[in-house]
Amino acid sequence: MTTTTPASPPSPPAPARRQLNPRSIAIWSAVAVAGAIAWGVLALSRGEEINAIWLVVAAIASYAIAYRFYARFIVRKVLKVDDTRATPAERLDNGIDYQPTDRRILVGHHFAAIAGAGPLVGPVLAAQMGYLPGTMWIIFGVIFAGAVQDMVILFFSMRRNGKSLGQMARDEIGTVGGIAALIAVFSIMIILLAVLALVVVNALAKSPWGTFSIAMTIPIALFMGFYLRTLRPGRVLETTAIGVGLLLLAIVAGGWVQESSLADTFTLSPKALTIGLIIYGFFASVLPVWMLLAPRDYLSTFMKVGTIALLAVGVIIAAPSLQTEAVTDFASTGTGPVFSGQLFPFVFIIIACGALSGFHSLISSGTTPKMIQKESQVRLVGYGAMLMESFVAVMALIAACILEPGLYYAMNAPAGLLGSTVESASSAVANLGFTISPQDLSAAAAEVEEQTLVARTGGAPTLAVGMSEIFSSVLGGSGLKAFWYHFAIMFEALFILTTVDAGTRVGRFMLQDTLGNIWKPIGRVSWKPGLWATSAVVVLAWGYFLYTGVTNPLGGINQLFPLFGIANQLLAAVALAVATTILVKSGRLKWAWVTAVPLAWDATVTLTASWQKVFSDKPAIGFFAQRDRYADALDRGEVLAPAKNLDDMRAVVTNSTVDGVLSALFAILVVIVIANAAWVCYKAIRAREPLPTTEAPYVKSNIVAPAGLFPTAEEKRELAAASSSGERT
Amino acid sequence: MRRALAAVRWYLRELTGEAEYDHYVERHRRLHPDQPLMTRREFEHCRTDRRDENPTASCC
Repeated sequence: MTTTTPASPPSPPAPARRQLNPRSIAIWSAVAVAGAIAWGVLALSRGEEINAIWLVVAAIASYAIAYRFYARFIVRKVLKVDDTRATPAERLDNGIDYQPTDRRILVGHHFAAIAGAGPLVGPVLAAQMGYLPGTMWIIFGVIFAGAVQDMVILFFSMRRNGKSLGQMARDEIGTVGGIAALIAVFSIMIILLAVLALVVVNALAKSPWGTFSIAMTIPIALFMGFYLRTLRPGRVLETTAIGVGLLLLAIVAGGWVQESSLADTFTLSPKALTIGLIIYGFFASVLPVWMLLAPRDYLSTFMKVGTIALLAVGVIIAAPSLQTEAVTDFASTGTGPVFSGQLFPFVFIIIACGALSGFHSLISSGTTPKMIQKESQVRLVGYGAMLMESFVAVMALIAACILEPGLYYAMNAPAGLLGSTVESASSAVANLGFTISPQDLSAAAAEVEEQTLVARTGGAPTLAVGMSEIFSSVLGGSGLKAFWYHFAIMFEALFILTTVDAGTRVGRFMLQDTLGNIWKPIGRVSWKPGLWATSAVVVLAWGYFLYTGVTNPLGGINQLFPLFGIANQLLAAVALAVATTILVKSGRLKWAWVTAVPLAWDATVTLTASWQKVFSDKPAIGFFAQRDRYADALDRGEVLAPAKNLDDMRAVVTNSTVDGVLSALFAILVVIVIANAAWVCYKAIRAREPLPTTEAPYVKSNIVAPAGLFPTAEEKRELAAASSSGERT
Repeated sequence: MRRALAAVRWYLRELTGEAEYDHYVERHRRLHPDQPLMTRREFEHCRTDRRDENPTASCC
């Protein structure tokens, strides 16, 4: 239980100020010089081809310096972590959710929970602006905003026994902030699920190979589920090994199916896939976890970590050159086909995961704070895991930027613009100012054994082509390109489907919880009719957006992805506002800039983007301008391209209205939360006495454990001393 | 070499939760030595079924 006590925690012993020895000065100087050179090459080269290795070097050097210096500064000066203080995992250890967990395991758990398809999709779309804006935002965004948010929320939640972000918003900012946070969480969840499902639909449409392999994951997961449940309970490693073997077989078999008479059965239209996904989402979320979700989780975690590691190794060995310009014209004209709008604010909206992702604050205030052994480990688990995710985003950006720009636009512009043939796509790409011949476009599709690559939006196919390019140059040559392409599609679709299942459950749980206040039975998680009804509501909610996305003549990704970015950044604003309020209330006004500056930036970006999405008079950007344009034409009985008939026209009008209203709603929520937080901060600054804290009281810790990944010499001595005196380690 | 393999195995067992039962047994023997121990099957069923009632999200 948390008790409210005056703010007088025993001040932690001042950490001994260790002087930097000459060796570490030399190492850190070398890292800084390497980073500076890499950044210089990226920023100053124009017109010549840049090797992707420079991106990797710039990223890693920047991360290392940020982790060593900035994160350490925050941990020591701002958060004032205290390793003599017992964490909730130690105090409340129940062997179930509260459990002190080795930091190396916990960082793996946390990384697996935060990193999904987001960091893979956003950077691919943002490559439209060139490689430089995306790279800079991914790296500087994570250092000063994203990783800070994850770590600070993890720390504050840990000090409050693992409270959720919503609870903290209610406790620290007030009821209004709390309700706004709740609405934000629910709506981002719905939009997120719709966008992710849309990525899968676009990746699988008209691809019998991909559709067959992904469909096979269902029986494979069911088999694993029963195997784990009845034959070999708890033997996760062995089950996963069998599952991964079957998964690889399913990818290979997809190629055979594509060549066989079964190909037509697995060639599905986007609409058919949408209905299939909605039905799947419903049944997956009402089945017991052990049957489908748990085994899928094992498979997708393995594939995720394995493939990302493979990609990192592949980029370093293959050392491909970037084909994209550093900054394209679309950055200033705002007329890019992938998403509309100028560099500011839209790059910062499109790339959320990997730079700053509000969603992470839900993980940082959920399971992870209940498992941390030592307070100082928030740096490794919170900041470190987010740096890893950022690196994944850099990898995805590289994979998109090594493609010929002509191919990139032929794959990522909406179908309405490109038409359906390679000839129409080729001439549309030429209109954009890039070149790809119809023959090259057909050849690119033939290489990965897909019917077509035209308008395969959503990021996944682009990433898969980039990855197959990298992997096949390291292993197997061009003969394996098709395998690697479908391997990459499988890898992405697999964990998107896991997220769809898990996300539907979380949305349902929130809905049950909220509705349970009005009508008791619906709140009971074991009451089946309530479970089915709330599951159906959640599935239909994201299913609606998915369907509008699939059928939208203007392109679903083009229309929905900015909305997803805005929702995600809105949640980040809530999280950073909570963190800033806590810093101010606990008398740390001096350090409040650590979260207040990212908050100000995030609010500027989100509000500017929402403003443009609502009020811009350019139909390509403003949802209402777009609505008016199509509604006026509809009144006159005209059909505007890319709509093909009056039904299309009506669909555009409805979608633009819904999306415009949502953008406005998100902006209003941000303003409410920030205004409320500012008022609370103002009161805290004016108050003579320090405000009561909501931290759990101090209890002395008996656990001895290192702070970082590798124990220091001093920590090794402490560990040895503790184990000889029989203390817990 | 053998040590590295053992470390990898330890890491994977811990990460996937395969080692949870061992932790449970150790903890149970330490705290409640007089009470009966769940079998592996019972324990794993409890552990998975708990997730039915406490869903956790993974991110985007």
